[in-house]
This record gives sequence, C-alpha cells and structure tokens, in this order.
Amino acid sequence: MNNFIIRFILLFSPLYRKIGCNTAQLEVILRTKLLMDDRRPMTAFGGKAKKESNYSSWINFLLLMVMGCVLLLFLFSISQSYLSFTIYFGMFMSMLCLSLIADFSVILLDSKDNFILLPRPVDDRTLSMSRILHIGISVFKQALGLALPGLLFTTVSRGGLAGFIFVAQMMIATILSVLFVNLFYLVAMRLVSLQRFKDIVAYLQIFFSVLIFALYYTMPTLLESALVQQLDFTATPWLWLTPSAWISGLQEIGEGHWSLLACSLSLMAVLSPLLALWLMVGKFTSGFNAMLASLQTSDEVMPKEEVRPSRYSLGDRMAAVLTTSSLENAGFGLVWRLTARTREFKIKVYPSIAYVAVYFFFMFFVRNKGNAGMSWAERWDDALAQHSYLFIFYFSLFTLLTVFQFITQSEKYKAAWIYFVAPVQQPGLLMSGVLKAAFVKFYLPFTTVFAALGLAFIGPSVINDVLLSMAVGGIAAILICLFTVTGYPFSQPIKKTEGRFLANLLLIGLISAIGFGHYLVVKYEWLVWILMILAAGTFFLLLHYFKKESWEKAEFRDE
Amino acid sequence: MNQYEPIIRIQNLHKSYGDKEVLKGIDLEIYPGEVIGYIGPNGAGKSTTVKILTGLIEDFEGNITIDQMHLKDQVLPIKAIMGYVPENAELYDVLSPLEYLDFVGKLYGMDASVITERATRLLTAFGLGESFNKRMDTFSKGMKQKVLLVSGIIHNPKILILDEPLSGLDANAVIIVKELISLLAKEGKTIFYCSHMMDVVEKVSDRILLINKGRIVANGTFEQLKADHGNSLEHIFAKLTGHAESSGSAANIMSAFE
Repeated sequence: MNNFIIRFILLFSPLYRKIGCNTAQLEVILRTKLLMDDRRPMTAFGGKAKKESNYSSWINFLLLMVMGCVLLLFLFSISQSYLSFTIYFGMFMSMLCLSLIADFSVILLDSKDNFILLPRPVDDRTLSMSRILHIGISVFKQALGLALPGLLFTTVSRGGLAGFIFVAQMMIATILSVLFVNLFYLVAMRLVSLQRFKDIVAYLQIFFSVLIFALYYTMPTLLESALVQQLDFTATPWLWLTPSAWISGLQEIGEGHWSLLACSLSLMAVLSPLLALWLMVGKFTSGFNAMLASLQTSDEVMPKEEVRPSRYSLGDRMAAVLTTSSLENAGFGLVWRLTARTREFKIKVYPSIAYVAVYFFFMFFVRNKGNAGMSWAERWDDALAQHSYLFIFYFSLFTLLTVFQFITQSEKYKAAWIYFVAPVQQPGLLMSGVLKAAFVKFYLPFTTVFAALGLAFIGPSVINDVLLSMAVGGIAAILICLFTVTGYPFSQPIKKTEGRFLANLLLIGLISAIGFGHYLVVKYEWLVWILMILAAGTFFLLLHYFKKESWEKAEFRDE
Repeated sequence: MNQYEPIIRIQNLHKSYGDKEVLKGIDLEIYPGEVIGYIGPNGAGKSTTVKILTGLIEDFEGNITIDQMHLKDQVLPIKAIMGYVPENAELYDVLSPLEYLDFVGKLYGMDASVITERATRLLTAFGLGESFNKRMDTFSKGMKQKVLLVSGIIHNPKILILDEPLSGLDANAVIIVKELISLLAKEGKTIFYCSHMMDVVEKVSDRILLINKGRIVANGTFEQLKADHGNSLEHIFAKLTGHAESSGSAANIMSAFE
C-alpha cells in the first residue's frame, strides 16, 4: 500500500518543486517514515507479544473498518436521512478526531526529527511538506477505513450519485477534523507543558474508550426512544450550527431537495474546508513548526511545576494504618503513587473503572427492555426488590482483574533492578503491600459508594451483604494477585497480549458463581452473617499465607 | 575485620549465556577500603561481573565470598551491606526524590524517619535541595544520576559498586563524586568502580583491573601497570585489549574518503 501511496503523491512532484521542495529528499523521508509506521507497535489494541509488527497500518485499517460498521447503526436506525447523516458524520468526525489526536501525538511529538533531520541539509519547506504529507497519508488511511462501510452502504441503498456525494462528504469531514485536531494541538500546546499534554492525550483516550463502552450499552435504547425518533431536523436550529449538519445537507441536494436550508448548509459544507485549508496552510504551520522545534530540547531541564505539597498524603496515612512492616509499607506506597502517575497504567485501567459506573447505570435504568413502559423510578424499585443490586458489588471486582493484569507493566520496567539488589527478606510482605494498596484504591471506593446508596435506599439489612461481598472481594483479590501477577509492580515491559487468559477466565467464573450464590441466599439474613464470618476468616488466613509466598516467579529482566 | 582479609574474593568465576561464555575464570581479591577501577572494552564482561556481585544474576559457576559470606548461600545479608549505582539512570521517575528514596530505604528495612533525615541531608549535599518534592520525570540525566548515587549510599553500605557513575554529570558534580569516593574509602568502605573514562579511573583508583574477553588481563596499581606496559592508561588499555594500532584504525577511517 505504501509504495502505491508514495507513487501517487509523487505524481504531483512538479507542484512540490514549484513551492521549493526537494522531491528526492521528500520521497526518502516519506518512505522511511511510512516504513517506521508499519513497524511501530500498535497503540490501539494488542498484537503479538514479542514479534515486531510489519503490518501495523493494515491491522489498524481493519480495526477502523469495524468501527465504521458500528457507525452504520446511525444510518439505518434513524428514519430521517437529514438527521441520520448529521449524527453519522458527527460521530465519524469525533472518532476521527480522537483517533488522530492519539496518533498525531506519536508522529508530531517525535523529537527524533530534531536530531536526525534538522542537522541535515534539508530545507524548511521540504521538512514541513514531508510532515504535512505524512500526516495527510495517515489521516487518509484512517478516514478511509472508517468511512468505507458507510460508503458501501450508501452506494448500495441510495445509488451511485449518493455514493459519489458520500466521498465528497467524507473528504470535507476529514479536512474539518484535521482542522479541529490542529486547533486542539495549538491551544493545548500553548497552554500546557509537554508532560501535561501527554497526560491530556491519555485522558482523552480513556474518555474515548469509556464513551464507546457507554454507547454500546445505551445507544440502542436511546435511538429507539421517542426523543431521537421524533426530533425534527428542519425545526431544530442549533443542529444547523454543527459541521456535520452542513455535510449532511449535500445528500439532500443529491436527492433533489433544493430547499433554502439544504442549499445554505451545503454552501457551508463547500466553503468550510476551503477556509480550514487556508487557515492551516497559511496561518498555523509557522507557529506550529516553531513550537515543535522547541519541544524537548535537552536544555529545558529545570522542573517548573508538579510540586507535591504535603508529605503526609492520604496514601501515606492509609499505608501507616494498614501495613505492619516497612517492606509492606514500601509496596503500598509505591503502588499507591505509581498507579496515580503512570500514564500507560491509567490508560489501561481507568476505563475499566468507568465501566463499573456505566454498568451501574445500565443495570438500573436501561435494562428491562421488555418493560419499555417502565419509568426510571420503577426500574430502580424493581432492581432493589429483586436484589439484583448485589451484582454490582461483584462486578466492581473485575476492576481488580484489570489492575493486577497491568500492575506489573511499565515503560520504566528497567528501574525494577532495585527490587533485586535490595535485601528483600520476605517478598510476600512487599506484595501484600501491593495487594492492600490495589484493594483499597480500586475496590473499596466502589463498595463504599454502593454501601452508602444501599443504606440510604434499602436500610441496615444491606450491611451484612456489604460485609460478605467485601470479604469475598478480599479473597478474590488475593487469588487474582497470586494467579495473575507474575512479578513485582512496574517491573516488566509493556506487553500487548493479555497473558493468563485461562486464569482470568476461571477467576471471572469463580467470582460470578460466588455472586450468584450470594444472590440465592440473600433472603436469609442469618445465613449471610454466618457466611460473612466464614469468608472473613478465610480472607485473613489467606492473607497470612500470602505474606509467606516467595514470589520466585518475579525475575530480573535484563534486556 | 582483619585489614588483610579480603572483603570480596572471587575464585574461578564462569558465566555463560547459552553457549557463549562471557566470563572465563575470573580470580580476584579486594581488600576493605580499596578503590578498584574495573575497566574493559564493550562486551568484555564488566557488567556481567557487576550483576553477579550485586545478586542480579544468580546462576554462575565459581566461588564468591563477600565479607566472609558465600554469595550463593547468603545473598540477602550480602545485599544488605552493598550499595549499587547502575548506569543509564533507571528509576521510577514519576516519583519525587524523597518518595523514591523512601521506597528504596524501606526495601533495605530502614526506618522512615532515618530515611527522611538522611535523604534530606544527602540530597542537599548533592545540590538537589530545591527539588525534594518534584517529580523526577522533569529532571536531567545528571540530576537523576545524583538521586541514584544517594540511593546507593543511603543505607550506609560497606561496599559500593558504581557502574559509570559519572555519566550525565556536569564538571562540578564529577568533582563531588571523586571526592566522595576518596572520603568513603578513607572510612573503610570498599569501592568497585566500573568505567570507560580512563582519566577518572586513573585518578580515583588504588588498583586497576582490566578485563578483556572474559579474563582479567591486568591487575595492579597505575604505577605498576605503567611500569609494565606503557605510560598512559589509555595506552595500556589499547595494548592489552588488542587495539595497539588504534591510530591505524583512525587512518583507515580517513582513507575511506580518498
């Protein structure tokens, strides 16, 4: 694919020469960059563990096509074509923007350019042209992948002209997305430091995956709801202000509806990308390049921000109360702090925390589709009466699975030499600190919130249920840690594959079975109390042995 | 301990990765208070030796006694009396220096209050007084290296193993570290100093060990080595590692342009 793309791009060589670019250099730079893109480990989802990837861009392309298929939902579930295209392109543009923001952060913030290209006799025009084209290619690949299902659908269901218009729509949407991403970068980079900026990108990625999860659960219900189906596009002026509405106007024209609204929206659709291009090429590039060049020069070393105020933070106080030895304390403190500050950990784990909240919402308000007539209050009462709220206690344990799956991984895994140089007498103690920190930080908050809600809406009878589920949670945490954690925290390189699949599956089965068991006995209060005492006893016994575990599987990685 | 009893004794140390033998029988005796300069070309086996001594690599052949304990049997008590500063400034840099040192100190079983006091004093002495509570991801390599040096000595070890400790440090910090090394040695600490920088090794070391292709090829004070092999350490290095005609290779490089 790359070869083809480059040949296509070089068809315009005379044009580049006219602007003052050196086409030979341009070709070499682009070829090398595309080659590197193909070998770049994928950020979006897991590939093979060790084997370096040669087809990253292809696999990414396929993945985007799958997402594009999901977007089709909007095209065929909403009856008015105006509205369906508006929502479709709205989603298309937001997905493209988010994907581009994540992708650009890798391409643009690659400071290697500063060391490899800038010292060479490559002139500024060639350099910025290569950058623009490189980004253009990556944008094109992504937009095409995302739009292909929509294009096929539109062509088949509406005919060739609609398909042709769809291509134009896609191009406009893409150009506008690039403008938005550009604006985002300009603003963000002017306002915050590089470190903060990477954090922002990370948070956006977290937000993105939560959004997709939430949409997956709520979209079908939402789309069927009267709110969306009865929305009249032509009578909703605020919708006309969205770029996706302008783009959808083109399809109206294609169908021969020459209304004033359709004409003016279409005019906007044609003019806005021209304006966007003028802004990006004329106004933004110079400032942008200057900013990129100033990034990550090694002289900028004095820390300016991120002063931590007090030494006795919540984590320290928790550690003091919950740990009994300095080794345990060390494990607790390290996990408490690093989980809050390690970007890659947050990207992977925080979404799963949000899933619990989304799932909570889903369980109480969206489920029970059979009784579509139920009001939200009725659904809430129903969930309480059937004790199905119990499952949320157990569902939050799945967060711990994710936490323990990623807690050993870090970009800074080489810093783990310290575990192996230090005279760690009882690794189990260190790991019990890790366990406690993870439990307190990623499980207890849920339980506390749910317990408070339970007390407020159900009453004291929920106390034994909370305690039982907590004790079970503790047991589960120990088992998860024992069976899925293969090393000290933040001591292994980042893996793409989900290791320990079978162990995870078994643990999920076990947790679900226990949750279901609890559901069966919930009516017998005394039984719940007895089970609670038994479970708590088991928990403390397990913890005692957990501390003696030798953790021989934690190995020093010397790579 | 007896001044004449070696604190580190290595006998017939072999180590292979697969069928590649990296260490081919190392024999060494190091005495308390000595500063040993351990030098050798890339791939000679320097860092393997260091990793074995620090307990990072546990499977090796041969005998190692440290402070009269066998490394194979009593690895934890040995780790407790050793300090290690690795090259490449690898640490958890989202922590602040105080947080990192707190973590390291606790791994050595130290008391939180002792850690804080020593860390504060050591960091101040290294000129990091204003950066106690700042995250190290904004630090320069030299600043991180200083934190690592502090983490290597915070538990007051008997033996200090330094792997390229000066990399990234500016000239002033280099002076501090050099002085520190001689002060520590005066206190009776043993220092095992690995480096490529001949001029520093020449100045700080009591004794120089040159390793090449998994064997010790020279062992003696700088004066002894000079008497035997040549007048500068660089010269000795080149001669013993088989690059005596290094001026010839430079000439070959130049000839490529002809």
